[in-house]
Amino acid sequence: MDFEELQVIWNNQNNEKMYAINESALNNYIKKKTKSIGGMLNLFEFILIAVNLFVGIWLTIESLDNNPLSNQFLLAIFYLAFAVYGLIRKFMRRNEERPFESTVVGELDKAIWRVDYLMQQSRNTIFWYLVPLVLIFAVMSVFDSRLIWVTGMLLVVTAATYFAHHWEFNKYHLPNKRNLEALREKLTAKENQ
Amino acid sequence: MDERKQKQIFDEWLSQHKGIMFKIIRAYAFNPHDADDLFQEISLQVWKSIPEFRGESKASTWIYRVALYTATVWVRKEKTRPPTQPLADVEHALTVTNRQRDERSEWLYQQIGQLEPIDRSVCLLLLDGFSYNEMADILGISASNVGVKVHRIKQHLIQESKEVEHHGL
Repeated sequence: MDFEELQVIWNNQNNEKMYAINESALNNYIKKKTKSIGGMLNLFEFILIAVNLFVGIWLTIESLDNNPLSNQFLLAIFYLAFAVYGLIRKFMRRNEERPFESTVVGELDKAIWRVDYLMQQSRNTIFWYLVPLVLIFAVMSVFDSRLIWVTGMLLVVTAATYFAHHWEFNKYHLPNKRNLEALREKLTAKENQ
Repeated sequence: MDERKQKQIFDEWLSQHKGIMFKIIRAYAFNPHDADDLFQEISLQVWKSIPEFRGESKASTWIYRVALYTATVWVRKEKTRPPTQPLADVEHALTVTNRQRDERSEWLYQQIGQLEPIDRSVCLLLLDGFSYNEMADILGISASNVGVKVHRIKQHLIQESKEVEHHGL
């Protein structure tokens, strides 16, 4: 059989009725999924920014009322800086996502980029948020011994987050990334035949 | 884009181009449970892609690209996922209607299904009459690379058809 005959078989099957769609079930699935994926990510980013902003403003007001050069003021700057950083990252992510090509390779690049972005965000939260917070509290506890337990708690949370990050990366994100990279390699590889 | 407009476009696309999705599902998913799962995944990705659609290509080309990408990634994920029992009381978005299909098209789909996931994409585009340049634009690889893949796939299909020809296909 030559390829033209296979093409005829293919063209004939275009009229075969294969499946029936349950539109109500499909709409329910899409509604559920779009809310859970996009909504969760945006909500998480929003909560992180809002909490930091709220704590930062509250500490600023408190420290201005008491002593502007206090430890509270140092913490306030830290929280406000992290809220601003969160906002900048959110907008940067939107802008960075645009250059990907509208092709299958472009989709793979975007998915690989998203895995990297997610992991980078997770690392940044540990090293630029939790670690500095532990250090600030450690310095503050030198002057105020009541803060030692807070420092200890934060240290435990930081260590737990670090190990959870590593576990998540090795269990889910790394295999997923390798999968996507293998597909990309397979698609773009030049064949010598 | 507001959700109502997105839904309107999605419904239009689904009604006009569901055939594209069905062909891809048939080439990538081999039982009703998987077909339903893949259909939901493709539909979700098509839905999410609507705000990005600028009309620079035909809607059918856009849907083909999104669906092929989704199916290719889905099939890789399925390989690593432990098998699950389909739930009887779950509402299915897709059901198989015609189990008595044409023997020859069934055979052709079987052959396509045996190809590597990436090659299945090339094969479906080829059979649906896309030019090398259009395939290159959808896949994001060079037209010459498409040509090499197409040549290999054609050879493979012709070879397989010759082997079964004397069995009365």
